[in-house]
Amino acid sequence: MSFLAPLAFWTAAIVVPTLLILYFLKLRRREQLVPSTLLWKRAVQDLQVNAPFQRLRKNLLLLLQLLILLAGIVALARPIVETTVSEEESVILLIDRSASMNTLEGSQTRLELAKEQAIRHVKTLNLTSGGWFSFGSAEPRTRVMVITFADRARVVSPFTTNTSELAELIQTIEPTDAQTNMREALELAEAYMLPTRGGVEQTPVSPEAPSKLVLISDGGVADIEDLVLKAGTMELLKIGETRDNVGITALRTRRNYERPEILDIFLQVQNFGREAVRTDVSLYVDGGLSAVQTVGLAAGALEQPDEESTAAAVEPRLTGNTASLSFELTLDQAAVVEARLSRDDALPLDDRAYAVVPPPRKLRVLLVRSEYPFLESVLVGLPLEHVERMTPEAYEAAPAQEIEEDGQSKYDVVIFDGHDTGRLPAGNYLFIAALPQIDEIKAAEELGPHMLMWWDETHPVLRHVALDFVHIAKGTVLEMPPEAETLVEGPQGPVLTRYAKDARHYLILTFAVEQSTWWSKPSFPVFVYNALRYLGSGGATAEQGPTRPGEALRIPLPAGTQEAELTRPDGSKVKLTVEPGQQARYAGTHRVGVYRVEPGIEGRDRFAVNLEDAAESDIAPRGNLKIGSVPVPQVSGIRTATPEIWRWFVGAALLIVLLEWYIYNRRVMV
Amino acid sequence: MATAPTRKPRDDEELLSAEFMTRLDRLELLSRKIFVGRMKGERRSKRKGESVEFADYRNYVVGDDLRFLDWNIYARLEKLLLKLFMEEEDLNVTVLFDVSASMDWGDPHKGLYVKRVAAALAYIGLVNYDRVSLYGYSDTLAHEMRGVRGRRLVSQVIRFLQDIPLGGVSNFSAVGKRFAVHHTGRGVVIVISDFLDKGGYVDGMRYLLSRNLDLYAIQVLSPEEIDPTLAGDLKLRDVEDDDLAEVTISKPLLAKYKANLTAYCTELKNYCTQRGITYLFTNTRVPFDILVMSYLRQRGLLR
Repeated sequence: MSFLAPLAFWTAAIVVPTLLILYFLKLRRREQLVPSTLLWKRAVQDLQVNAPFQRLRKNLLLLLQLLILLAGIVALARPIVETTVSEEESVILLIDRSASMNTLEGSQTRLELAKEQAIRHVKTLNLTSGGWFSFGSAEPRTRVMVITFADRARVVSPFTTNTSELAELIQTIEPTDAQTNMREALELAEAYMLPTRGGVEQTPVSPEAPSKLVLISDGGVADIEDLVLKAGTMELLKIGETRDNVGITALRTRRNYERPEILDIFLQVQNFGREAVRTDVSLYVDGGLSAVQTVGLAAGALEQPDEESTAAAVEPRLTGNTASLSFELTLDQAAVVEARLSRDDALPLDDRAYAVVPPPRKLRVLLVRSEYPFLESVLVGLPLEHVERMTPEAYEAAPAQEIEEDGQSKYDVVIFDGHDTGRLPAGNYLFIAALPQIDEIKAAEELGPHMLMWWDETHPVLRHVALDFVHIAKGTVLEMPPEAETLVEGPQGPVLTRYAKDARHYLILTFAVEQSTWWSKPSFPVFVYNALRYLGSGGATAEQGPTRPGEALRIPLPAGTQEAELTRPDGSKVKLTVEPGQQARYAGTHRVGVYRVEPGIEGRDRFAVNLEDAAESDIAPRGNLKIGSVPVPQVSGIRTATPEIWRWFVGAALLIVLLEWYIYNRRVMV
Repeated sequence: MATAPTRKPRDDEELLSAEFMTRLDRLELLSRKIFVGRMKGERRSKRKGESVEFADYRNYVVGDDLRFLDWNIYARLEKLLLKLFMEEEDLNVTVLFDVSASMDWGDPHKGLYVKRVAAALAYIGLVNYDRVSLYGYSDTLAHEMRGVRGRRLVSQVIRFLQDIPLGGVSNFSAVGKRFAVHHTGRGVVIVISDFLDKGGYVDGMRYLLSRNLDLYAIQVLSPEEIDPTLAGDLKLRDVEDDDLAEVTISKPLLAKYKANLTAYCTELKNYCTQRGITYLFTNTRVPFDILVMSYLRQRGLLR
């Protein structure tokens, strides 16, 4: 047991002697004249004879009164039990507010529990060093800092000793649906922990000021093993016990390329709980129910694999703890597709997933090139609405209304084959052996015959594209800005890069197809197909799936928009700043759902933000964390709140008062 | 210091009212014993004397008064016989009353009560031509009026009683001894006191008993002593000797006090009864005329 206000014991130094003095004063009796004390003395003597424990009883009363005082003082000192009093000089509380912290534990979410624990923790600090009644030399020693983190870290409060202010600040932490990323939180903490010393290289915190990091989390911190604790020690305060959760871990929609009115929907549902479940997966299109499938899921991976056979025997349809579903809908307009699990579980936010489906359309492509040998043949075979062909001279000379419309390119994709240009209205561009004439991209030098070293097979543009044995006779070494994404790498830098800037989306290939053996490979048409689809569907958005919570939305706006407003899933509205290039960005996507912009471009005015994260959906709390392969010790939570204890002491004091009164009245005191 | 529960008597408060005196006229003091008096009085004496009531004969011896010879006997029997007559003499009535500080107490006031009883007894004695002696005592026989006779001295006696101040420590043993030495006469001795004497009453009584007196003991207590109304943590100070007793008044203590008081009175009563002393307990709340007209007559002191 410890005390939140130990200074109350100082009152004992005043009160107890006062009681003793009062006790002696009590003996100074009122004087009263009587005719004779003869009989009184006899009576008193008789009683004394009859009461052998007279002295003891006098002491008993004193003892009881002291007990009453003690109980009162202890109550004043605000006793708490099961608390650990910190001796560290600085404590950093890292409060996890990622999606998994939204899990309901009874009536409270894990984040609420975590905040409660954090506040209790804060209140228990600074106790040995004065607490709330600090005077004179008893300055509070423990400085506390609070950082909350999900995908981003935020300093709730820098180092302070003001306990009540900290408690208020901790209360303001709001939940997010974002992923867990502790690296930033740790970097923030370290930045505060390691003070810079006048230009001299930073040294770790000196031993007399150890910092303790208290991680208040459910343990679902995926990246913690990659991190290293540079200074101080870390403790984990594990929150949560529930593990029953079924979540949608992926939702993808794709319009059939040949028949764009047909929408393919792929869904992944995963069971993280300990028991096998069955649940209905319902599909809503713009709020209306359109399809339902029932799925059976085996227990989560932790209880596997021994019980797999028995689980299968009981539930023949069970296919493991993960199930993939596919739906096919006919949808000839833009829509919001919502997938719902009918089952109630601890983490509701992954029971729903949203996808914004663009309206069906075939692509309009402009090919700018003097001759059209290989590309032409590929484009002919593709289901495109229209392919326009222009020579480079005609492109440069064409009037603006032929190429652009409100600053946007009239074509879904423009292909430049061997023609560098600076005439680039907002749109999607595929440069083959050519470069956009923008500042960031420069051709460095020519490159002789070479092979391709590496390529990103997972990228949608290179899906099913095998680049082995592609020989290139002549290429170019590019200088690309660092944010450009390299998809294919040659011996001297990128060969295929993706770069997006100012509402323009570029794919740049550094060699001409006819200068290589690629044209003869089956992978070339596949690449063109992929590239057109990728660029034509608005770049990454449709293919890469929906935005994750916390990721920024890139919002295209109609030309001439001065003001735009974004409606969040909870109905609140946010004003957007219109950036050059008729677009806006919004980073406040902390909650899952559909964000809608007003005014917006038809079909691209809604944005789905989904959790789709197995790591967050797996809400089973983990206690055995390791940071940089060092185990993080777990501390137990502070369970007892302060007021409950002092009430007991006040009650005890009252009882003793009653007892004392009884003894005083029933027996005679001399 | 708390004021004592005392109603101080007014100085001019008369001890006996005229109306009460006429009622007392009908009474006379009785003695269970017949004593030899000193002077002619209205009581039969052991002595044969000169009254008209014949008592006995005896032989003549030389020197007897020839007037009392029974000449008729001499004529018949030629023997000189002397006629003896009953002698009527006075009765010694002594009132020994406590005037110590403890009597200056109570409502009704103990001291006044005692003086009234003494005055009433003295009045009755004076009216009946008894020799009345009054002694007010504390630690010694401080105030005395000895051998008063005759109705005309009533006012003097009452003034004497009125003028006695209340104070001092009662010491009944010393008083008893001194009384026994100095008071020669026999007769009725009435002791009026609260008998709450630290030195005890036994020694004093023994001295009085040794003189073969007709003893009466009247114990006067105030209501405050019989049923104390004290409360709280007190330091009790004895008005006489400044003796202190620290008490915390509680129900058991009061019960114990009352039990002790009863025991004390019973003990006194038994002591008196065993030695032929007539004991009378009175509370000052009992009107003193009722005490005189009724209780004392029941006890046989008055007729």
